Amino acid sequence: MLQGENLTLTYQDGETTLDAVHDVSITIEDHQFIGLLGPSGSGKSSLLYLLSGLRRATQGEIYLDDRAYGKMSERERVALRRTEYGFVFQQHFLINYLTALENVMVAAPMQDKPHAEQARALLADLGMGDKLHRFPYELSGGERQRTAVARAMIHRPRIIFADEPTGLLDRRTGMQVMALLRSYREQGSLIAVTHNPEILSEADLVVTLRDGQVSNIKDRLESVVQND
Amino acid sequence: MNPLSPLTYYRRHKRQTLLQVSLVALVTLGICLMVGMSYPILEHTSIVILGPLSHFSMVYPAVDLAPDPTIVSQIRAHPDVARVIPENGLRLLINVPSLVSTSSMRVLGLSEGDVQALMDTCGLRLKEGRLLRPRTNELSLSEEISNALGLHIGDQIDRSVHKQYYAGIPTPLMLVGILESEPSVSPEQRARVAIVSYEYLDSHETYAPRQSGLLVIAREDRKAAVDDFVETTIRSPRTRVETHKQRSEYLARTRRTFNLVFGAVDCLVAVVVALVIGVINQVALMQRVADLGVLHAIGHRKAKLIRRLTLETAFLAGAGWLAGLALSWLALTWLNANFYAPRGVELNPLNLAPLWFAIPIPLAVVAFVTFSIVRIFARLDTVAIVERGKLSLEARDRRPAAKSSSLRSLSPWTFYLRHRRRGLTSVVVMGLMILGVAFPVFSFGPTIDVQKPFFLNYLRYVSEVSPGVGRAVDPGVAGQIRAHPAVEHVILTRVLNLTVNVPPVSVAMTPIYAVSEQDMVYLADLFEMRLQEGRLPCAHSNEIVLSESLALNRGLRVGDTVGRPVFEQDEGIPTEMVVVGIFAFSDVALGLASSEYLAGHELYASQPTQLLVAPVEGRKAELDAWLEESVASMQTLVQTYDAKLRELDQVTRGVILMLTAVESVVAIVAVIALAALNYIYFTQRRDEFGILHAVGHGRPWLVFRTMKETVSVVAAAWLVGAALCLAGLVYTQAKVYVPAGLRLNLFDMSPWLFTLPIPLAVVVASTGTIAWMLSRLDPVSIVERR
Repeated sequence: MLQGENLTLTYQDGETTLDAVHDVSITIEDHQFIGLLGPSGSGKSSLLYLLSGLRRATQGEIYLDDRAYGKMSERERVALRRTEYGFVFQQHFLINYLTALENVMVAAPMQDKPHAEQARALLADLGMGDKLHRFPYELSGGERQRTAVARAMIHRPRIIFADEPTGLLDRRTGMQVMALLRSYREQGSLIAVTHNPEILSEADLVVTLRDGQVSNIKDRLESVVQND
Repeated sequence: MNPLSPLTYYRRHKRQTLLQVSLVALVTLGICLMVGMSYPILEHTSIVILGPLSHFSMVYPAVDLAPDPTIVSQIRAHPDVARVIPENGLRLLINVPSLVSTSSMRVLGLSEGDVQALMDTCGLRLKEGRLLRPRTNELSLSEEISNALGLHIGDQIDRSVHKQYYAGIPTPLMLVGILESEPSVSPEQRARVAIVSYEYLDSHETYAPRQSGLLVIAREDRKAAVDDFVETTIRSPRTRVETHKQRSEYLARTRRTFNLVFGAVDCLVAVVVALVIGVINQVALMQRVADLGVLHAIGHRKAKLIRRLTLETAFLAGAGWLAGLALSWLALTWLNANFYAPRGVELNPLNLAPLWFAIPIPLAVVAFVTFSIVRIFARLDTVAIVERGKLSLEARDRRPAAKSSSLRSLSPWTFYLRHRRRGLTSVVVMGLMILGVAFPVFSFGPTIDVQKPFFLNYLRYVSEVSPGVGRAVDPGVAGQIRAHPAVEHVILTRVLNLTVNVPPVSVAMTPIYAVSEQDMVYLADLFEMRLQEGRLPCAHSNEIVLSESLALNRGLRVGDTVGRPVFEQDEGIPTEMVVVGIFAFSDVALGLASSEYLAGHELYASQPTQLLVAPVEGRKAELDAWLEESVASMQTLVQTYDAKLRELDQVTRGVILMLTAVESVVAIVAVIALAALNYIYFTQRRDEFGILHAVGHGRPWLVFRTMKETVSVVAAAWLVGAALCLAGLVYTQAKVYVPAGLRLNLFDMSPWLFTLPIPLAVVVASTGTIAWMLSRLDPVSIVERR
């Protein structure tokens, strides 16, 4: 379980202090799909980076099970990202000089043959079996993002953090990528940031943020009831 | 205001501008210091000799005690000769210390009336003390010489005061006057002289019979004509001459070798700097391709844009070059005031030699960068830029399709496999740097080592005892030595010195021992020298037998002759000697001659005798210790293996000091250049590091990964540099050293040690730069980018 309590993230912009996230509390259970919804600048990405340990909260605390981020060293937080979390960003951020397979291997726990086989199988499952040895610039936008998804999954993380993973993709490809990410729920949790409510149709919980604060929380059941 | 002027660009890109200017300035400084510091040391010997010769020429008998009277009359009668001064200080030598070695300087024996005439000719005046009085053991010295020797008025010198500096001064001489040049005399023409009384040398029994020569002073502006006259008309097998022209030619040869060695280093450094700055420029240019595409689209011709960019580079390279020259001038001025001048070595900060060596740097930079600019412009696709808002050179990142993927995607091997050009540039830059250091180290470093068979190794078998004063070792002392239980045999000998060439630039003296026929056999046996060809010299004959390495060095065969009459540089052998035998190659290289011949020849009569002391087997160390502790004194000089080795080590330290200075310059340049390259490469890979950090690779791991990459490329570069060096060494061994009878020890690790600081410094600097940059890396700023 990942839990954020009274999280605040403050930026200094010249002499002005800006709250990117203000007093947000959130709990993510195992195998849950959480959607973070909101307009640009609402603080959803900042919350994602707080929860994933990439940023430190100005106030508040985050717990993974009973481990508090605040008590972890930088090294421990990096190790957490390496072993427990996976990331998919808006841009694919693949390393340009590595092939698709090698890019996936970048996040593998060990760079050995068994993990290479695992990466190969994962890419094949994602429909990239014939493009294992292509460089990123030889792939289409969707293929690049699928490779990024495989990179996020290779080490079987407990939580995948996805920051607008379909933002730069066309609708059809975007839905494909989201389907891939949703399929991971059997193995772990998924937290996805988006401003497109359509792709969160299967989310267990949709948290809407506005000006750094939670403006609305809806669970899936509630959505279904409302639709009915 | 011209928005496209280079100045506007520099103002808006201060850091990049500063980096390029600093790199060129630093390299220029390094080259100027390397050349500026080495030149005076190299030229010191020649300057000591050339200074006086720019005012007079010297004529000496090659065999006789005095010049042939006919020759003297001929010289005096020449219309361009203003004055002829008799001089009798021949072979009275002072070894003047320079920074790393010593230079032999002749003491002139002049009569009272001639001293002032010589001073007037050379533009000298008394600075301190007084002029010497006739028939006294008084000495006048130029201030540069007295400074270098650390002498003051009233000091006495002879071989007991300093074994090395005054080995050629058998009786005490007292310094009474210090001379300085008139301010009007140019630095190159400043005569450094040492003068003693003609009458004193003539009357002192130690110096009798004394050989005398002539100093020939030309009329005003007729010096060249007189030099020409003595060289063409007076010079003969029986008459030796020394002129400015002749010595200048020798100096020019030395300079040519020096220029060749340092020129090669210079070229390497220039290529390296051009490569580094070229890469920096290319990276900067790639970032400006979009701007250039737009400029081209709105009507700026490619040729004009190329010209503008080339001008930018030329301006930066020129500014860096001038800054480097200015800094080197300051540094050389400081070095001259604090290190060189106090040791009597003239370092002229305005000497143009370093300037010539520094010229290739900006030229190479501009040439390489221009090439790079032209190449980029040839591929510039303006339409792609303005139509798609993208760089036209996307293809630069395209690699051939991969056939397979690497299991170790983050290994240095994968990185360099996919960045071959970058890897190659780094390897070439580093490899050349290493070669640049190793080349002078191997060119100059072994010169001392390879000479050991010529003047050191024989001391493993015998020790030398010679008189400190007078012509022979005190009989009482000689008796003591003979009676010592560790002594097996004592040999009375006179020593001739054969000149040998030591590549690349120096000459050395190796001893020819004149001994009796029985002792000749004994010594050959003791030194384990086996006759390969010919025979041993006969008694009373002008015959010598040489080691094969000496014969090879001088290109001699049985039947050939050596000595001053046939080879001018054989100053240590005044008569012609015939080679009658050659010893097979061994680690001792010397020659043997007949002692009876020397004893009977008037030219050798004044030469002191010395003792070669052979130890009882296994007791050499004991004997040497006893000789050094109980026998060595002001009256008796002792030379043992350990003592000679200590002297050599002192000289070696000097050479090492110079080489270390050269290496430091190259290492600093390498470190800065490679650190700059790394900085640029890192900025290009910022996204990669950011994403790796975001997905859970910690900073220490990223630093370690970069270090592995740097170590790989540095190791490859070292191997390339070392392989090139080794190939060069094997070639030099075969073509230069072996024909000169010398052998480089290719397995000696010490020269290789000089090549290690560069890769180590580069690894440390690169890792440090990356660690510093990674410490400031914020992965969120990269992955959050929209």
